[in-house]
Amino acid sequence: MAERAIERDPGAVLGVGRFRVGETSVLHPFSEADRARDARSCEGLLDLAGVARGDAVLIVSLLSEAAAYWPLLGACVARGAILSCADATPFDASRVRMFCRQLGLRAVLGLHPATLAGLRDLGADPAQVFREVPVLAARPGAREELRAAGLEPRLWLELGPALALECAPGSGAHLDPELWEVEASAGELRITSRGPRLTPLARQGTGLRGRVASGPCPCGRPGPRVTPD
Amino acid sequence: MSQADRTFDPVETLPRPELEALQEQRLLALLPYAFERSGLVRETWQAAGVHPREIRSLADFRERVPFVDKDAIRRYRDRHGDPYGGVLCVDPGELTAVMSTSGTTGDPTLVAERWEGEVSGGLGLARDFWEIGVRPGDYLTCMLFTFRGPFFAQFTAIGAAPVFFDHHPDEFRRWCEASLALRPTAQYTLSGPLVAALQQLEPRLPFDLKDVFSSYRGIVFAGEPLGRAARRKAEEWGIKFHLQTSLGDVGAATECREHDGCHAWEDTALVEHLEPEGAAPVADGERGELVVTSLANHTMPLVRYRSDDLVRLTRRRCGCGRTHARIWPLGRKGDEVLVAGRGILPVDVWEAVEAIPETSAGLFQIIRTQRECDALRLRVGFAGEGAPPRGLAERVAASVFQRVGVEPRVELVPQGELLRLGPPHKIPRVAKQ
Repeated sequence: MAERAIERDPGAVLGVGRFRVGETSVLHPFSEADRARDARSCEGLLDLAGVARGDAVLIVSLLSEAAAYWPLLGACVARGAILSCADATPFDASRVRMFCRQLGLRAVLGLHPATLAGLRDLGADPAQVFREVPVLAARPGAREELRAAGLEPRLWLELGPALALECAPGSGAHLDPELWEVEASAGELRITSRGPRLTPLARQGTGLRGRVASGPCPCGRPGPRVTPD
Repeated sequence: MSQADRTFDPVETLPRPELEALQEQRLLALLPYAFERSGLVRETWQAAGVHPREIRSLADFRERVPFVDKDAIRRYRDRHGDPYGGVLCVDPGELTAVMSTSGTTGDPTLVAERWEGEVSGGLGLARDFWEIGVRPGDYLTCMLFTFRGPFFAQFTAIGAAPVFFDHHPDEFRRWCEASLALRPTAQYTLSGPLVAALQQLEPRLPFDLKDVFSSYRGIVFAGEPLGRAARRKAEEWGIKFHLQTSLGDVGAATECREHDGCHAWEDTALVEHLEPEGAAPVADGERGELVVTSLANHTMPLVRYRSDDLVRLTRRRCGCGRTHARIWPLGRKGDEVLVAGRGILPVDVWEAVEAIPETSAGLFQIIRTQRECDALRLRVGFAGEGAPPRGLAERVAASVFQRVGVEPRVELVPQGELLRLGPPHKIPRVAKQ
């Protein structure tokens, strides 16, 4: 006696997420093949964050961002990291604080300005909440506030459906060169997908202004690094 | 649609004797394991003088096994410094994830998980949405949060493609566009606050909501009871809501297309329905407390956990053909307030508040300073900002008195103030002040 077994075509639509371009959103269908490939790429982000098997990782995101973050969950599972999730909303700031207090986190990935706003509403000091977390990967807006609190966050960036992370504060966020090309065109960052993808992107605008560094990074990791304005 | 096509898993229609035999088999395998590995189970059973070797049947279990509740878990947590409250049965290094409860009424509590691949939480949702009519190749909109982990993997298990939205009114325009473009079959979820927000937004949207909803065979409504106002709105929009309610802290139960109670998957949990202040079972269909034991969770199994949830329950076979228990949520035991000898739960007040146009969103709280109060005090949210309309408090009070027989003292606040108190899908229904 068993439930139905449904076979899927790995090239068919697995899910439909979205990415932001400035104030607008672009629907982004993706396949199982995309998710698997992106998950392998996200293991590179975990390498940058120094996440090893058994480490606790908190991912702060929104469900609408699943196209980018579902692969990241998969990377954590493949790595054997212990995964926790919180919404990037002011209400879930108490959840973020609770996880930081209880779990001995190695990294918080995707820290959002909304979380910091929620901590302010709670009267909580980010310097206290995050002081024991070795790696804070923060989105623009959140990064600046954490720096002002005396912390050393690294930049965490979403470029379309791609995720990027600094190897060290100030190095620029690494994007996986096997999957993505990035350029600054009239100051706007544009990405192009490489390899087969259900929804290929060609010079897709991101709504972000910034610079691209292509030279070698001191960490030795190849590929472009992005610094938003 | 044949009955065979209606179910995702044959266990859903297992005859009761076979279902109970399956439960007993799983229970008797779980108990020695939990006794050995769960500090809370061992401590509780030793205090009661009970050992797993004495439990050889469901009957033995019902007669002898002691209860635990949330307070017992918190006390264990505080005494031992154990963030899992003595319930974790595996080495923390074996975990895939540590998620948490919603945290509506306090700090969220930890929920440790081991996944099979990237699927968490079994396939209960797969069964629920197969019943609603989702089939391979369909789109299914998800309007929820991330803190429960990748629940959406259950939809890919039935071959559907989730379309992702945040549980926030700001998403509605984008959601309308995607619904018209992709024609999804179902949605997980909508909540009272979102229905109220969509209702307010409707005149300003450049879409006909009946058209937007026309492809949806069903929408799961979760977070709180489904009030009459929300059901009426659903009829206007041409949609069918399927209420989903928590099954203690071991899972969820969802209405089938008969809309006559929420199915609890009894192959995954032993469900008891007991007197709220005792251990005797309550008659089928009557009000009792939901007490649950995990049968399919060996990571953090709850054993004879008193949920504090008051429900009606039946084990009569449903019109859909399923044989698993159905429950109707009534409220939390700890939320009941006694006024002039009358027990009042939020669900008793709900329709009375919804019946008044300015408070039709049904956003309210009972102010419960202690269990017995000399008056029923309500904080009620009205649509709009600033000062409430004159006479509104009196109209709300009269509506409540007509239904409950107790005249309340009504404090009116703008709806937004109440919505800020909780997670996006519900508000705390009882407040201490």
